[in-house]
Amino acid sequence: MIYGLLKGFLRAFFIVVAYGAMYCHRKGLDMAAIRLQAIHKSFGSTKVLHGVDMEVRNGEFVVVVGPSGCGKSTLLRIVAGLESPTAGNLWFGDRNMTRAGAPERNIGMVFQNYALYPHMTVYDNLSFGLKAHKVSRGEMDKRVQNVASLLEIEHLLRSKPSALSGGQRQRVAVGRALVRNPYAFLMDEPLSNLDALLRDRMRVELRHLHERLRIPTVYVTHDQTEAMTMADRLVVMKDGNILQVGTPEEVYHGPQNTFVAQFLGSPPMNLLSVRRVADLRVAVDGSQDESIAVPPRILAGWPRDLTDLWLGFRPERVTLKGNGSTGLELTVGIRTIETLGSRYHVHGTWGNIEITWVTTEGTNLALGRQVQLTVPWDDVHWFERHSGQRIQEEPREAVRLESGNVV
Amino acid sequence: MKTWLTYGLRAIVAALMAAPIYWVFVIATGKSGDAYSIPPVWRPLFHWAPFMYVWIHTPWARYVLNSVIISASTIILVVVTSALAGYALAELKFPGNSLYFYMTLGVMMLPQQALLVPQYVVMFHLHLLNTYTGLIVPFAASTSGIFLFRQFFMKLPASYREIARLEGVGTLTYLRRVAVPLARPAVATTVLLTFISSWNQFQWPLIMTNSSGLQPIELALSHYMQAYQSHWRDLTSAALIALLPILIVFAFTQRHIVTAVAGGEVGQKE
Amino acid sequence: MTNPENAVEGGHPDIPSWMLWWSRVRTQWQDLVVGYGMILPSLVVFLVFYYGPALFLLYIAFFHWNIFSNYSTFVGLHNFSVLLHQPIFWQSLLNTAYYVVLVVPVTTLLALALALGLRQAWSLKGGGVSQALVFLPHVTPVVATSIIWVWIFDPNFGLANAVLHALHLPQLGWLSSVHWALPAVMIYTVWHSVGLYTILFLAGLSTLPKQVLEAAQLDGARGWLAFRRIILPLIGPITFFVVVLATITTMQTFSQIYTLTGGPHGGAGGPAFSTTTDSLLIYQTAFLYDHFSLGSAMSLVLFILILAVTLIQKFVADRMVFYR
Repeated sequence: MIYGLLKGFLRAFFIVVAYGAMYCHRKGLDMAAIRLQAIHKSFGSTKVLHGVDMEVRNGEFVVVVGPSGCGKSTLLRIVAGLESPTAGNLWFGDRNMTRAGAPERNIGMVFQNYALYPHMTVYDNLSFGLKAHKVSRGEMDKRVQNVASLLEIEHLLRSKPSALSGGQRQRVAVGRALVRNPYAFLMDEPLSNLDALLRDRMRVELRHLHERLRIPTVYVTHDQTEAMTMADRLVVMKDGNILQVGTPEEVYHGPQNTFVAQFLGSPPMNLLSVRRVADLRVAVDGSQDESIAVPPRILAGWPRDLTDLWLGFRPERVTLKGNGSTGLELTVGIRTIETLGSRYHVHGTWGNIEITWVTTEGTNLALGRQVQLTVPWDDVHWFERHSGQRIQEEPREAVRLESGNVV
Repeated sequence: MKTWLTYGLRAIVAALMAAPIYWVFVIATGKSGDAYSIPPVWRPLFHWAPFMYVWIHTPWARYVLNSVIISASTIILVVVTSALAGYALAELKFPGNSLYFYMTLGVMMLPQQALLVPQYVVMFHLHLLNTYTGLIVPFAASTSGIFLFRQFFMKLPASYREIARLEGVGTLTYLRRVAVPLARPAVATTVLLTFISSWNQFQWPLIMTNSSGLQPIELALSHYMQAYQSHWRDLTSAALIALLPILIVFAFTQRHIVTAVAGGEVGQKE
Repeated sequence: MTNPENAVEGGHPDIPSWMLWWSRVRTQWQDLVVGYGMILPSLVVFLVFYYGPALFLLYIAFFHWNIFSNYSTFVGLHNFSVLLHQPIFWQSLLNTAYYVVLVVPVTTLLALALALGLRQAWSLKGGGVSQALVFLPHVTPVVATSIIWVWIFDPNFGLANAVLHALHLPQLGWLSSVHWALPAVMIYTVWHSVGLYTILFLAGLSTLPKQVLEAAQLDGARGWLAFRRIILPLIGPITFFVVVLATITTMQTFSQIYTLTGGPHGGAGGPAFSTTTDSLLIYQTAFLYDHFSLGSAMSLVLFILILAVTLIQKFVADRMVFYR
């Protein structure tokens, strides 16, 4: 009897525990590793961040990209605990870290100048933080060795930073962040001190390291190549606001506004200022051509008062006329040809408008020549002239640029 | 021709300036009557016997020891207080930061001679007269030391400190293990300048002590001078004891000292 | 929780301002505690041994007191009136003025000449060593080097008279003569300090553009003109600094006077008080004769004098050097 009761209790207990564990586990999976909630930051009267919302999921590599002065470094420093936000909350999982001190956050950070202490050997640099936390000698050795072998810097442990190459210093800086088993990685323009060739290699290496470790990472850069190639998700910032968040493909193929459209992609997107002159016709400012007919599936649903627009298309989407597809047709005089080996960047004018396009076919190119180009209508992006916001394919209210929290 | 002229001029000026110090050496190691010879003796004879006699038969070892104790303690204290205050002024934001900066500057503006009487009263009431402490602690903080360290710490990249903060390294550990070792030139300059000023200390011990057991070398020398007037060889031998440490230190570090005095900053490459 | 849609620029809804203030205070708290902790050691030294006594001086100068008794009375300006009736006080001020008025210009000009005239020589091979030799006297201990200078000034066997003899000039009594004792101290002081000011001038000159200095190398009237019109205004600030430093230092000269003029019985300041300067008189009054009230009154006078001279120099320099 008692045995039966006990058994029943035990059973009930196990069921509760199991469900609880499952619940917690699921919750853990759903929860973002790092979540910024309406983060504001001002330095005196200068507002640097205007209410930023953003999240980094478990195992994700998020790149924050934007021109200098957009607040991206401040954002990173707030996550690290080097600055505290003027308002808003910061969450690591379900823990509110807004007021937590920097060391409690257990963040690994890589600075642009690496911040390696020049008077210490690589080993001392790697173990400095551990020593401060009274980690035992054996444990310290083990961790340093592990990280060193992971990053292939074992042979450098006895050298001083001044004896290392740029790439090696970079690796030591990453190793120092790694050796403490950080909750997250923060990198502030870590590659901008390297030369172009090394930068390309380190990009791959860092991404490869991330594939192996899957530590949530926030990577800040102004370089669009790094942003596009390294990110799981991109966060584009400008003037203290987030303009767009998404995978590199999403952002590249569906820029939410003219700034994102021109900031990502090289050469940048062509933007033509156009007016709607009739229901299904637009005129391009500065071109001598008649107004152009636009397929009804694009313009039909738009509000009638939406007349001033930007028309954008990426240089690599431009095709030579005559391959069958229909689209925006341009007659462009070639002004400059940049040869990049595998492809050509061609700059020309259509009336008064500068047009750039990319082609792999070099045989027909000659300066001064007029060429007929077509841009398929599916590759044309439309933006509202005044706000610069993308006009959605399915009509909907344009998002105000000021609030900017398009997540 | 013009080059030779400047070379010659330069040599004459340098020789004139160094001549008195040279003659200390000449007379101390010369024959006993050399100080009275006309025309004056100008060649050193390297007779070290009188020098050794002074060293052994009068308590000069004691005075040198006093000077060493006072200088060494002052140097250590000055480096510590300067590094601490210099770091606070350079890196930390707290109300009163700039006020303290000007206070540090202001100490240099106070006329030392006018302060001796009230300083003596303070020392009297703190029971610091006739103590080593009284010869050391008033010089344990130095404006130039604080400025040197402040200047140096301001040049360190902010990321050095930030990394330490992220890793949970305390301010004092960071200061001891990173900032001060990186500010080695500032340490060297502070040590040298403090050594020179504290070894040459004369008026303060003259007023603040009256026991011969505490006398630093300069004070002992002035008493010796009054007792042994005109015993030039003994006097110069004793003077040589006070001079030699300065001369030796200066010989090895003159470039460093001259730049430190000129700019307060030393362009030493790591 | 802040709703981003409601976030208005200029204010942060949902967060009361006192909370923002508190968060700022909390983040600054650590810097504050650590900062004060770090300045504390030097602050204590400065307050106890420098600023404290400076304020204390303002107080004790108006009292009749003695360090060895607890008895003290407020006497107002009595100490000062006693002071003004002491001929030796006026004598000491005169001696100090004489000393400063000669030493400061001579040292400054000599240092400027050494710096300008030998500017190129310092950069030649071996320049560092000779520069160091010029600077060397400044780092030597005063008493140790005074010993040899007492010998140099010895009327019978000293170098000084040997040089005068060689130049067929009359020999002097130097330290034993009422007229020549103070000049002898001046010579020592110039020797001991000119190296410092030379280095300071050289440092000041090194910040000037090279072409400007080369213009001054031209000989004759054009060189002089270039010097007066171009170099002098440019080195104005450093010259002002040197003059102020030299004045403040020489107004307080003590060690060399005490040592060079100190007879067998410690009779420094002689012969016949001809080398008794203000700091020597303060020392003797307060610490030899235990007249602390008089000593503190004298100290206050010296304090004010130094302050006044510095301010006057600043005023004159503003007029002459900077607003050309």
